[in-house]
Amino acid sequence: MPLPLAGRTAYLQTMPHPLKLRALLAVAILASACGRAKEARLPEGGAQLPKPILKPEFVLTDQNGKSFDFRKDTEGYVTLLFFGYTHCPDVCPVHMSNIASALQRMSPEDARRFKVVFVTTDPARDDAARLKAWLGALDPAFIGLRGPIDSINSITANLGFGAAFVEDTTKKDYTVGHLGIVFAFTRDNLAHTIYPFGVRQEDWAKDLPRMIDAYAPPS
Amino acid sequence: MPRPAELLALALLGIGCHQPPAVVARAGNIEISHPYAFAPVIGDEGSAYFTMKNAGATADTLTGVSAGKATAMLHGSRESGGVVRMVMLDILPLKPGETVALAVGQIHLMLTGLDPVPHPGDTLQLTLTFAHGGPATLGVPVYRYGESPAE
Repeated sequence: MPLPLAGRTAYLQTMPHPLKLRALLAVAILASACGRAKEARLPEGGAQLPKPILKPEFVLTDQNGKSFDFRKDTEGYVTLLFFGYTHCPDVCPVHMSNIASALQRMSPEDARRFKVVFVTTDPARDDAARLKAWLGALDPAFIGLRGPIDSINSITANLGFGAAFVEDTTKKDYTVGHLGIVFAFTRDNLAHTIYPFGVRQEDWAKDLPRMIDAYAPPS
Repeated sequence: MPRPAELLALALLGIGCHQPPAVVARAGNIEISHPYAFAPVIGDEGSAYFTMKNAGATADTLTGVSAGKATAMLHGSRESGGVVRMVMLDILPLKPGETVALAVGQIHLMLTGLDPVPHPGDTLQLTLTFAHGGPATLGVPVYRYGESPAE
């Protein structure tokens, strides 16, 4: 749908400076702290969405050739979702490597509360073996998903973003335009925060532990 | 109350922080600093970044980059609907006084067919060629993706 896409794109383009965002968030946290006895510290390194995004429902194939039901198989986990490709020279490996390093800095128990899902926007080159080798080198617990590009594009459209742009695949070293964003779904099945490229490892290291308790569903 | 020697040390530290970045190579009026590269996750594809400053009074243009046997492609990026596309850059003009810093998600050098494949801790040789300044060769420290000092 063109309308929500335009709205969200406009939002991205006017994304506040991270420092300004942090200052605003700090004020918001201070303000809310007055009303509540205990407030879990919220992730603050990304961009807060004015309207949270519902965790999408889709089924794709993982790097082991098994069917993966995104909504069902990530239920109860903090879920990081990224769309990219393994031949990507910078944004994809930097994002994924930063997340891998930040998870390694947590206790194994805490790290197990996350599912990191990488959906390829280059299914022609990213077969199951390539996904498995590339993600395995970053963090073997990462989940790599593939499917027809039209299915992937309908997932990003439902999230309110544009379609991947695949260059001429007959060209050597072709590149793929893709979202530079990591969606962070907390355990309430909502993404309150998205992480554009440029987010540093320190921000991930600070935010990931906070995601475990932030926006947790009532138990 | 700090002693004069301590004050002097602090002052020197302050000066140190405001020193211009270490220039690692020059080509005519172009000063190149802050080089770093990322080793391939798997395979032979990586990326490299550096900062160029035109310290002269005349314009110059980066016309070519080579990295041994590898293919080096300079990419810019364009964003639309949240989707980031790479745009091949054949040349990169530098106005007098202008500084262009390559960075993740912005202008970057895509390296394919790296041979030998560099590993974190290695140094990669890059040669940049400028229309007026001519060639400059620099050693680029290689890091794991996301682990460079620039991150």
